[in-house]
Amino acid sequence: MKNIGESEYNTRDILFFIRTRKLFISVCAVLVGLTVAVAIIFNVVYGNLMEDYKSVYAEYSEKSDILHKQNLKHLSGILNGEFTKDQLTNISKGFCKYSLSVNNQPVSKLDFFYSADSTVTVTVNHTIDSKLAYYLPDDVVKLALTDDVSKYFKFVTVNDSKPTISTSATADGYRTDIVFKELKVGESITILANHEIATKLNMNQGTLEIVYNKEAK
Amino acid sequence: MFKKLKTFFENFRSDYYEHKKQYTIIISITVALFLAFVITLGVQIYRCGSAAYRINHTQTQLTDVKAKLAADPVIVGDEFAVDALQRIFGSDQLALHTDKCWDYKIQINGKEVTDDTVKVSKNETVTVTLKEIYTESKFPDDVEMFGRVTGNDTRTDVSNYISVSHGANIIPVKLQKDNVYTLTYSVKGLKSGDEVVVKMKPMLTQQMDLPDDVAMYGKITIKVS
Repeated sequence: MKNIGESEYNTRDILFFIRTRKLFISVCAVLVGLTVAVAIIFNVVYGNLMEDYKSVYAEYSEKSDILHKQNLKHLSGILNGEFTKDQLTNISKGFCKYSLSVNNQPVSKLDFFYSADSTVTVTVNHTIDSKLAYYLPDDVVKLALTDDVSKYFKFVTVNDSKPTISTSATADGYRTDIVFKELKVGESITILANHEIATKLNMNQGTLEIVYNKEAK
Repeated sequence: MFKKLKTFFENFRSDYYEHKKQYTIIISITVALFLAFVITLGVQIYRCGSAAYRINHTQTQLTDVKAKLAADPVIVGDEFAVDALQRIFGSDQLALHTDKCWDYKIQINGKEVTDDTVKVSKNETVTVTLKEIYTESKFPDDVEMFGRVTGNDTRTDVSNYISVSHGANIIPVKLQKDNVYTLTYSVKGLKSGDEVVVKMKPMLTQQMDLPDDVAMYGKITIKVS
């Protein structure tokens, strides 16, 4: 075994050196102990604080919801007292966001869409701007969301077939499905959107031609 | 005691010079452990501090919400409605929707203005009356103010939007009665050839039902014959 103080050391030398210096061991032990103690104590304190925070936040959330509902009811009274139903629908529609898809594929900016399926479902999703939804009473929001969007479109088909139209609620608004069934190969549907909705849907010319083509992918 | 300490440091010094490299390792380990302790302490204090701040902040918000729930729902609802209506409509649209709450009428010697020139006889007292008539609506008061000529500026009134002069500006008599605020300008002792000029700012003329010339130029000339 090499003596401590020689120019070359190994682990055993160092360990021997440490063992022979009790002060160093004590200081290290105290530091390790303090670190562990601080970590444990503060973790307990932090856990208790978070419990308190959760309970305060839950109460705050509950009371805020009650207050917000009360405020929206008051606002609804103001809006319904000052505006007609048509005016409110128009106001609310101003904050509506629309998106168009065919067979669940987004089609904004497209002029042509080739469907591989003989059933074509044109879907218009209508949602309200989430930032403004907080400030609009539900009854006013509903006026726009439940507005029949199919009236803004004209559908031209070869055999003048009539689509099935249905509106249903989604997580963040409503969707209107316009379904054309049993198309024949090569048959097409032309969608003509009015200017207002075409702008909101980002449609190029306000028209979209859907062609049934078995080989379309 | 002093002797013992002296011996201890002398031994330590000789030991240090004898085992310089080992001491470097020892001190490094001690410093590393000390840093670990300080960092742990700092991080934990910060975590607990920020949690305490969040509790305090949420508690303040909760107190505020509770106070609002206990207060008059109309007052609290109006506060919310002012903010909401501004976000929904924007200030300009709100002014258009609420200008029906404020009607402005001008009369000269008790008669409606039908032309930009009004003739009166000498020695007749000329009385120009401007009325601001408020009609209550469901909008909160602060929102109704958007439709007023003065907007939300409570430091001014409609007299800042009209001037009646006969050489110098005439000071009006102001009267608030119920929902009508009246400004009355009286000019006496007029001679033949005198002129009294009424000038109105566009903000005011836009909200009045006036003949085209008066609405466009906002000026009425009262000529004494």
